[in-house]
Amino acid sequence: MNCREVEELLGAYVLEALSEEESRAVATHLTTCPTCPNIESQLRAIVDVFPLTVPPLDPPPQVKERLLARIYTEEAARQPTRTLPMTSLASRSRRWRNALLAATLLVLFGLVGTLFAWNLVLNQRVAQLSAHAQPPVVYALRGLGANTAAHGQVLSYPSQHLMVLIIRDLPPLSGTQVYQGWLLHGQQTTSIGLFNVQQGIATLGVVGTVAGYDTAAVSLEAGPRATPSAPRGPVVALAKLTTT
Amino acid sequence: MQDFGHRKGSPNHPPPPFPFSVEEISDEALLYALAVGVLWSLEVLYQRYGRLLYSIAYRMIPDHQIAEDLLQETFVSVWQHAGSYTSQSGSVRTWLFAIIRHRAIDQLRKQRARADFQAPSIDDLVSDERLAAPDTWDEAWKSIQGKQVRNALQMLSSEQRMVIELAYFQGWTQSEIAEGYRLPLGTVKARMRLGMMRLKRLLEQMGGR
Repeated sequence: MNCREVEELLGAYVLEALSEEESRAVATHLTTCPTCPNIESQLRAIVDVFPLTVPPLDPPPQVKERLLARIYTEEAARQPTRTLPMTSLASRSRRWRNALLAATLLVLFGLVGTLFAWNLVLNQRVAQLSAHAQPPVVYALRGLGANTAAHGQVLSYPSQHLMVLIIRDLPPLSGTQVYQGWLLHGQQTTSIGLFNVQQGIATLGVVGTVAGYDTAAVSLEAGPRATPSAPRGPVVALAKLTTT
Repeated sequence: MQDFGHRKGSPNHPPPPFPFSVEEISDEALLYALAVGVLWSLEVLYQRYGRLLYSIAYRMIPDHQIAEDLLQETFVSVWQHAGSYTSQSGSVRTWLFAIIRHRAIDQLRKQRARADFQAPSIDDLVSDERLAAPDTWDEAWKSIQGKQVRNALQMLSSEQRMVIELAYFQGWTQSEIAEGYRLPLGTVKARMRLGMMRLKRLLEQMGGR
């Protein structure tokens, strides 16, 4: 096929409306032509936006519930059966530690790739984190009282001076309410910031370490700003920052 | 007591932290995390794209049960094949669109194979109701690109819009359109070619792609 013939078919090609034979011929031409791929990519960019032209419609919430139930069940079935002490995560499988490491690295890399407001110190620490890929120290974060369904992790990278708190299934916030993170040493509390909550997944990334602290906590505050000094609202989750 | 970050605080005002939010995690990072077993990243992807994907599924097959099944199957597929995504597939969003669209087309082909199948009417295909109304837009729909493409589609002739609609949202090939609507194949090809080129010109004039 020559360029003229291909250009006449490119619209149908990106719509996937050609016969198999025509589609193969166009694809072959695109691999060697210096000009047609440009037109193809322009048309494809248009077609890629077609989904944004449809009327929006919310799926029923049970779709997500069924999906997550299936996935978490199947995933759990793959894991070795093991009973873990609540305060010690030293016996977690290597696979999960590597998974959490990879996740944290990618969370941070995803941010470095998209944000522009990071300070130099943090960028350097993230670079060190990626270069040496040291696994985090992981502490279980568990819901208290009526929030026993909530669970998550505190991921601490002591040599990189970074930590990430992730917790899911916290109750939805209302009004100006916020979830706030704290580190405790005995009765002494230090605020580490406000969680971002999306559909029950709360995340908080902090420059700092857990050294010198024995507990991490999440409290429900009136908001919209962080409560200074000590929680005023109920503590909804705790993590013991000890390993055996 | 430890300071967090380089910003100092006073005893009554702890130093502000450097928080980041899950919103700022890229789609690619989420997929990579999912590929190594971080399941909550699938929840984030569902939150970002579940509504959009469900809307596409329902637009292609206006049956809530089928659309729900397609949505669930799509995210199960994402979970199972997260590691297969590469940038050659386009953006993650485009990759997700392709998964649910192809699944819907498979479903539509099964329906078309049935003896009692009736092709959608031309009036339905070119109805403006199929294009989202402005007051129902959310962030995705409010995107400049989406708005421009919507406007441009409305400016096509009904014949051109029809063949594009059938190809993209119903998965018909040019030959199938010609046969299904008893049109000369050359006419279908010309309408599709001219329609797509007109879309491209209109969007270039609007300042889009």
